[in-house]
Amino acid sequence: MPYLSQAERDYITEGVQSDLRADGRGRLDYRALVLETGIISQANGSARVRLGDGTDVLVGVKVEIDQVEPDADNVGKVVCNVEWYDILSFCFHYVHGYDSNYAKRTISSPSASQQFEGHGADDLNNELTQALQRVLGGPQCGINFEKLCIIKGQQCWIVYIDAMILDYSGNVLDTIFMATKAALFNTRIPKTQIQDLGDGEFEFEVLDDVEDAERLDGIENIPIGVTLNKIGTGHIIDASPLEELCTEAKLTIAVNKDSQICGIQKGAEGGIEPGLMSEMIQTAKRIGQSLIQQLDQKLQDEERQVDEKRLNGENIEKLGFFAMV
Amino acid sequence: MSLRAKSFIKRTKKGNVIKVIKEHYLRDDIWCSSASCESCNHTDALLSATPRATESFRTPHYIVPDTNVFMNQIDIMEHPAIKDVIVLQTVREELRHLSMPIYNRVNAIVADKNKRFYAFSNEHHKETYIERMKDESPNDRNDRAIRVSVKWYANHLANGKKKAPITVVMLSDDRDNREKAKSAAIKCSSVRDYVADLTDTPELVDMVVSAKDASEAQAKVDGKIEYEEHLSQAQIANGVKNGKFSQGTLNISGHNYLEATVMATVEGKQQNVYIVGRKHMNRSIQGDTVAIQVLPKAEWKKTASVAIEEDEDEAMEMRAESESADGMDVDNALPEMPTAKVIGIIRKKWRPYCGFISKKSIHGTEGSTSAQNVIFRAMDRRIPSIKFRTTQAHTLAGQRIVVAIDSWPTTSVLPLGHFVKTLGSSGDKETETEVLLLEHDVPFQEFSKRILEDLPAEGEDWVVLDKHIHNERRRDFRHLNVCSIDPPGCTDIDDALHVRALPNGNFEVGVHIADVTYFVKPGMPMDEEAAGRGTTVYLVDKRIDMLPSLLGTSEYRLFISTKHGVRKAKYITPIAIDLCSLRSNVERLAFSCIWEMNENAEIVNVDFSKSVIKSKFSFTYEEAQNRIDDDRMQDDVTKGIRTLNSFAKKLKQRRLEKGALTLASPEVRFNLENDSQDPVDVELKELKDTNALVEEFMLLANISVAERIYAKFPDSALLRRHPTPPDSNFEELRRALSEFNISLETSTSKELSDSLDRAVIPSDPYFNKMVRIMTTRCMLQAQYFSSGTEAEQDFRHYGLACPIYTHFTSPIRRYSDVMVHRLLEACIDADLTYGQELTDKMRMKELCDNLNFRNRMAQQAARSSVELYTNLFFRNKVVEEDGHVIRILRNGFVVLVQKYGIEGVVYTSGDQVTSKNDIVYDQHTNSLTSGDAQIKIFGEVKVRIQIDGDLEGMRQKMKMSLIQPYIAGFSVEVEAPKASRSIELPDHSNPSKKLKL
Repeated sequence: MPYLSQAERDYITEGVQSDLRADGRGRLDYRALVLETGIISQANGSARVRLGDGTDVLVGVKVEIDQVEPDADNVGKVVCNVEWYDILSFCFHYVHGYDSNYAKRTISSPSASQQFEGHGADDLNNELTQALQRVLGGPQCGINFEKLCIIKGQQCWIVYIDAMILDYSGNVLDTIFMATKAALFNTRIPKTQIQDLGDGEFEFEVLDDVEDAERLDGIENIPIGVTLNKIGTGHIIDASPLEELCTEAKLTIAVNKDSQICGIQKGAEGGIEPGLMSEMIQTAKRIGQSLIQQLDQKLQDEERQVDEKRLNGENIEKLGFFAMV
Repeated sequence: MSLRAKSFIKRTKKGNVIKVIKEHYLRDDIWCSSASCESCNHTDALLSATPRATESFRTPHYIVPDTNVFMNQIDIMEHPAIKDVIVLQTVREELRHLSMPIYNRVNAIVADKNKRFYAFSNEHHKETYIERMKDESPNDRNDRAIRVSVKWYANHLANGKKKAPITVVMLSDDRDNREKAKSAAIKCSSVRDYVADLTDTPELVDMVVSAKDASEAQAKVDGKIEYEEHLSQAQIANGVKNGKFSQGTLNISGHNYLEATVMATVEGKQQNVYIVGRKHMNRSIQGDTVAIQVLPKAEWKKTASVAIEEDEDEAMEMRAESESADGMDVDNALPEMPTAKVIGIIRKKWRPYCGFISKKSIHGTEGSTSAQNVIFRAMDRRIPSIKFRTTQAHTLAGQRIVVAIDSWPTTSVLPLGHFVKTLGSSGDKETETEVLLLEHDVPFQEFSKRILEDLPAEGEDWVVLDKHIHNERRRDFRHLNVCSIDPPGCTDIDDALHVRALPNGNFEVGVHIADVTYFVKPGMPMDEEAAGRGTTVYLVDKRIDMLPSLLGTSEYRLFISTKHGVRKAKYITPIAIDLCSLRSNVERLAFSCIWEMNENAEIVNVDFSKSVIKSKFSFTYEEAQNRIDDDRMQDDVTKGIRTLNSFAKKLKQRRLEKGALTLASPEVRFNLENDSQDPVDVELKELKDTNALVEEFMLLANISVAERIYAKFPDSALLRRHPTPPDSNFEELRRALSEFNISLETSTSKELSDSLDRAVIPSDPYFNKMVRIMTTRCMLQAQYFSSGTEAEQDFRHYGLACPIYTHFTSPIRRYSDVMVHRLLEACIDADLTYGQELTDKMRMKELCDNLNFRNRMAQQAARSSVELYTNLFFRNKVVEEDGHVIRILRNGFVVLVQKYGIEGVVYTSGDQVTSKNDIVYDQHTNSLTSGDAQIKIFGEVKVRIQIDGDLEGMRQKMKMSLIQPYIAGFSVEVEAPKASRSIELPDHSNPSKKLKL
């Protein structure tokens, strides 16, 4: 890790030990975040989360119709994809000093280039895509996959979750999870009408009214991720970029509203002793549950505000990218 | 301006879904267009400052109809009495989704400034745009948008500084919507209530369509279920896909309205499938695209066709049906015919129908104006009777009227409809002609001013100038001995010919066609109109031109209002006469096809060129023939005609050898009495050698042009093909001929042509002609098509026995030829720029589809016109004439009388036959016998022809009755010679007297 001096490293590590981090937070304090849903009108659902002063994730959910898989003909699918927008090329340019315009942006995220140097763009995308897919691709995410099947043996919905990382300031995976949960909360799947053609044959129609659409079933059970970074002997949540550079080992734990663990992913090179691991999991469950409660509360508040406006026939204007911390 | 977004979900062709978002801008500069409004900045306000006030709404007001009013009551909205209407954008957009025809009609009204219909863009108006509320259905949202706009108008009109108060009234047949409007203090009314106040136009009340659910509810109360429910569109689509159902166009038999055929694929074979009886037709109407399900073989039709003539009333209809459906005497001699039932209608072909009210269905005393249900019978016998409600029943009796179908619920035997308009009294020749034009969808309105403006500004003074020769690469043929040969009285001379010897011993033969495309350029209103009309329609006493007359003054009006107007027997002057028509001794622009031929009439070379000609003579067929025959005439022109004539004979010989068919159809000509235009004589059209002369060269030109344009435009050449008729079409004829030991080979046109030549019976000179007439009826229609849409082997013209063909020679009267001229010009002039209209094969296909439709309609209109005049001719006459039996039915036979070219049915059993007779139908010999007398196909009979007004006198009907062979109790006695042969001329002493058919 060439861009972090030993002195800086010690400063951060000791800070963690004494429960006082460089930005003044305690070990288990989360940064403030801004969240807005429904900002991509073309998507079936969308959300943007901006965490602290940097990490910015936009998630769009799009549903499409496809043939069911022959070996699982009564369920639909969830397909995740994460992409870093521009940052990688920006890093590349910065490191090699090609483009002065990109250099300006280093002010906002000085460490990005350091951390990603040497990684291929695809590796990073794949790592995050897989982390998300492992949690949301199966029944552990709480979504009722059978409800995504339109006609058994024929067609089903595929839910495409596309996360785009617009800016980076640490803790990106947790932010993606949170934005995804919010985007899925915002997602409406068009209603279908199934017609019996007789002889065991069915055909369906998609209603063209955007209002005639329903939520995914099981949306309330979708987990979020809590990443704990082990630094020295302590562990922290919501790590900043510099803290991530000091991280010996990290554990991302997907927790749902009932504190059930839906997935665990270990990252970085260092090891975690069993005692600490169990402690980290307990921490994650506790923090995860509280985060979900707050998130759900905010999402419901937002939806109620939108509905109120709609009831009065008022125009709904989104803050979009003007929203700041 | 402010921006909003509108979104909806769309399913793509591949089956996926996308959410479509459209940006929507709101403005604050959309005016109300009221002439009395001073706060809006509009110029040319459309809505009158003094609109109508009614009994119920005493303030002068504008009308704002909702969507359903236009959907259901479009006929009322089109009525001249309805003016000062605001058409909201919400309404127009809904209409566009619901029904394109209605949408187009509304647009036509809006375009008509006299109607004062203002299209108000409420969806883009800042103050009338509304967001859809949560849990609000799109319909409710639109209804609300309409109410908001009405409210806005009311406030807007009340606030401005006005000379006189004006308000707005919303028209809606939706009770719920009206309740909501009332609670928001919006004035509103149902259409029925509103028009009831318009006492000066009482017919409007009849035109009100009762709301669909209301009439269906009514039907439910009083009716048992008469028909099966139709399947859903999805079920039909799926059934058609997996082969359980077939789809096709319903074609109801002209002889029997309870029998129809659908061309569909059954058992892997494209064939005619029968649909028998009202129940199985299941509310489908002539021309509908229907989905059918083939019945089990046990229920297939096994009986010969029956002719059902007149549907007198309900009871009889039902009886007729049970006769034809249940009374089948099963006979295995006849092959079973695939039979099916209709299980759904894919596309309805409903249109307004011309016809009359069945007198029997009118109740009450003369002059009564209470509303009653009456039965309407369409002129087109294939259309079922329509039930509708009217207050003018007694006034409308004896009139030709137009009625539209509204709905056909399962509980109603007959479809339900409403009155649209009245055309005039039945039997009046003008009315009847208008009826037949309407029935065949022939556009016969006068050419609009916009179209007439496309004519050259010089008008009659237009002449060929030097620039035409020098600047347009025209060849100068003015010195050649060009002449034209046409029927007598022909005004639009499309074509002219010349021939001259070349130094190398060959001949140069030229066909010169009027250069219409010089005047009619693509994209002109005149061009669009001509493309829409497709063809000139020839009726017995008039023609409906495709291109406008040069002199569009009122004196030369093409069609005079038919109701009471005095008809002017003046022919219009078409553009052809002055500018295009290749008259003699006038310089004209032409498009020439020049061949170099050797003395055997074989083409050595062909060339096409725009040209200038000066025809030396305009001959009639007869004059040309006389010149050929008169040995004293040795001038160049006459010699030229002789050369052409000998060439034509050689060409014809070669064509016949290749298998071109000589077919026949009885064509008649009426000699009309000058003033009244009544027919005084009828004769069969006669053909002379010179007819064939012109025809041969026209065929040759068409073929040469077809080859040329196809080479240049392989995807989009407009060609004409005549498909090989399927073998099954000849089945009946073949069976009839087999009794005379004559075989009919039909696999190629050559074989057919040969077997027609062999079909001769020495004792009956007319036999061969009859076979040819019947063969003609087995043929398929020739069709225009775009070369990119068919395989090359399907280009064949079966009748002419040539591999490729098109129409080039009559651009004045056929739009296809106009198009071909343009294609050919693009072939010969490399510098010419042309647009997609020549290269886009789908556009060409659409054009062809329209031309085919217009052609078919024009032919049918012409035929109907002949029928009209035939009936006029036989009116007040009883004529006895020899005829031939050309078809045997189970309950009668069809007789063709060659002298008049007419045919009719003689019934031997059924409701029309009053006398008892013992005529028996024998399926094995396909004959009707009674004792010794036998009626066989091709047999000679003597019949009496008379015009027999049906019981109501509303449907002119030719009645034929048998005289010979004599069948006791059935044949009519020969009347005294004096009575039978006397021809009673129409009464001209009183010119204003209406003609009664």
